[in-house]
Amino acid sequence: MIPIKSSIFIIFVVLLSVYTSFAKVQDFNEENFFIDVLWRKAMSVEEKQLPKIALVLGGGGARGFAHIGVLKALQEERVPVNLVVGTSVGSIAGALYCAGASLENFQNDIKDFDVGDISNFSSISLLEMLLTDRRLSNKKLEDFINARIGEVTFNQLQIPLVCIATDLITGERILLREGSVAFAARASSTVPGIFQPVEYNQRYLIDGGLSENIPVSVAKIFKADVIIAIPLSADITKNSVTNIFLTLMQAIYIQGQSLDQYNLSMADVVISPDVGDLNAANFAGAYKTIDKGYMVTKKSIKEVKIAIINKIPERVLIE
Amino acid sequence: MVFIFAGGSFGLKANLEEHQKKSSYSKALAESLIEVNIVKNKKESLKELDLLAKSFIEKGFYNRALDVYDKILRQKLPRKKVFEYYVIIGDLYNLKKDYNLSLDYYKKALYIRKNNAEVMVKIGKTFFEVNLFELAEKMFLAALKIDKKSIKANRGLGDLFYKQGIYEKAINYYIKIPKEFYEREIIRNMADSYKNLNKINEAMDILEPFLEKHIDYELTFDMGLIYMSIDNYEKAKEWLLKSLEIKANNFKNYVYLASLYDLTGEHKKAIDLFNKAYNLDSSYASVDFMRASLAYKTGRIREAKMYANESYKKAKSVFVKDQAKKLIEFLNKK
Repeated sequence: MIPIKSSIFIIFVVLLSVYTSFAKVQDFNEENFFIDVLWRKAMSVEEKQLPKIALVLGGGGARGFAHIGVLKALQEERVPVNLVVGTSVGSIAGALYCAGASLENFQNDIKDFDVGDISNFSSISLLEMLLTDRRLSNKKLEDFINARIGEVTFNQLQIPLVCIATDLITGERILLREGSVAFAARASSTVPGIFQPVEYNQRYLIDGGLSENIPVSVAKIFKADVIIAIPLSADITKNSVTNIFLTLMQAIYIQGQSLDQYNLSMADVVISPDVGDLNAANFAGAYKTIDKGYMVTKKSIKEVKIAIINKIPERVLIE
Repeated sequence: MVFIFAGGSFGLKANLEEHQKKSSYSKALAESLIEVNIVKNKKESLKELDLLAKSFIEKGFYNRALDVYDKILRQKLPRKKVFEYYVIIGDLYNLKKDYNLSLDYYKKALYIRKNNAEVMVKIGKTFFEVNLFELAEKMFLAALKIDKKSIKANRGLGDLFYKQGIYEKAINYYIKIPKEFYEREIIRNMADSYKNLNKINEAMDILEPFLEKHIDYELTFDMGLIYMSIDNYEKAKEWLLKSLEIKANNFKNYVYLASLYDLTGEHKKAIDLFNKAYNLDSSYASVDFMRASLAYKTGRIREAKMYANESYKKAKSVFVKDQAKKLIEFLNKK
């Protein structure tokens, strides 16, 4: 029979041994380490051996500020991007990113952003719109973009970009990838019924969100190996429909929802900033979505890296 | 094993002695509480109770201290004193992690002194503890409105944004703290924030002066990782080796240093360190994976296959398992 004091002592020693072996590697996260090692190996290989990585930036009006946060985070994590496909505000964010504009400067720049910065929106012009056939112009958007990236054309971009617009007459999805980048981003963001359609090669172009709000299928056409999609879907049940503009926007969202779901199912990684409760026209509340885009991307980085590593042949990682 | 026995034996004896000490001490304290109750002079009684409460707090007897403060507050006291006691009680409940009660008392204190920045900071910190970040931010900002240079408020906001991964904002607040108040944790958080923002020079500028004056394993290791992140492998090795000098026989250090040697083609050193890591803890699939990879690179195919299979068996996550499977398939073609 072991005395009680000795029993207590033995139990204590056993527990201490268990604790110390547990504590020894308590602060070691194996998955993080492994991803780190393989990522480092992946980034040290020749560019031609890496998978083609595409970013798909969805439309969403004011919610599009979140794209700035997403792109900042991806830049910080040094995720290589070979192609950007953008719709509407996604085109604008894509234009800035692909032209190599400083996202930090842009973020400071747009703190006091107002819709009047990109259109001739005013109470007078709204009244005119209601009383006549004249719609608003978003020509200022082109100037806004050119002021930040210069008057660049698609072939001058650092990263290839495709902007999605819609042909108002035929309903076709139009891929814009030549000529003026600012013009293409403007065409992609032309909300029908509010802004005058943009004339292009005998077509009248409007917002790409009507044909493809999250253009993952376009990234597939361009043979991307890894597709990272950033949808800015609205929680449409929370939307206000108190005026013509908001009602139109709601109609667009309802129509686009099922196509969006199909597109997202084809993406390798989906990064969804929590911005669903912000109305697309609410530019006053848009700035705070930048942080949301940033934070969710930082949290999703592991997933992004895994998706890229998984597309690299084993031979390349091992040798 | 002998050391553990000796250590264990010493520990148990020390615990028993401590317990006995506490029992006799608390008995003495309880007796003095009874004596204080008998004292007729209210002023003396208050002073004694105050001292008694402080003694209880020093010894970690928070509940007893709270009982004493409860007694104190039943007396008629000037508002200034009531304020002070509310804050102390709030702090005590915070220590006990009873955050609801802590907040109650801080709010009572704030009701007496509406513009007290220090109490606002305490409320902010309490909200932070329970992950109510928006409320915490509001309180810290309110404190800053009253005291623009409040170190604690700036620190609170820095920690708040750091915890949420909003590194830029974290830095914006940390840099408002005068450098002489930079504690280790602030330095670590700032360095990590800069690293995450890819501002590597700034990260190093924060860490290096601290490490010149202090021996700190974790921060030395972090320096190694910072250099790794900018692909400066020679400097990274230097720092990781330094951290190994501070804390030898360290699994994490071995595997990171080994992976670095692998990257720079120093296979023998890499194998040696992965083996050391394996000897410390053989349960990690990633270590077997790396041993397999290195065995393949040094022409030992059979060994590589063995390690790859071990890696697959031990893998705890889907990703590691998938990679191990791919490695097995790759090696089977050899």
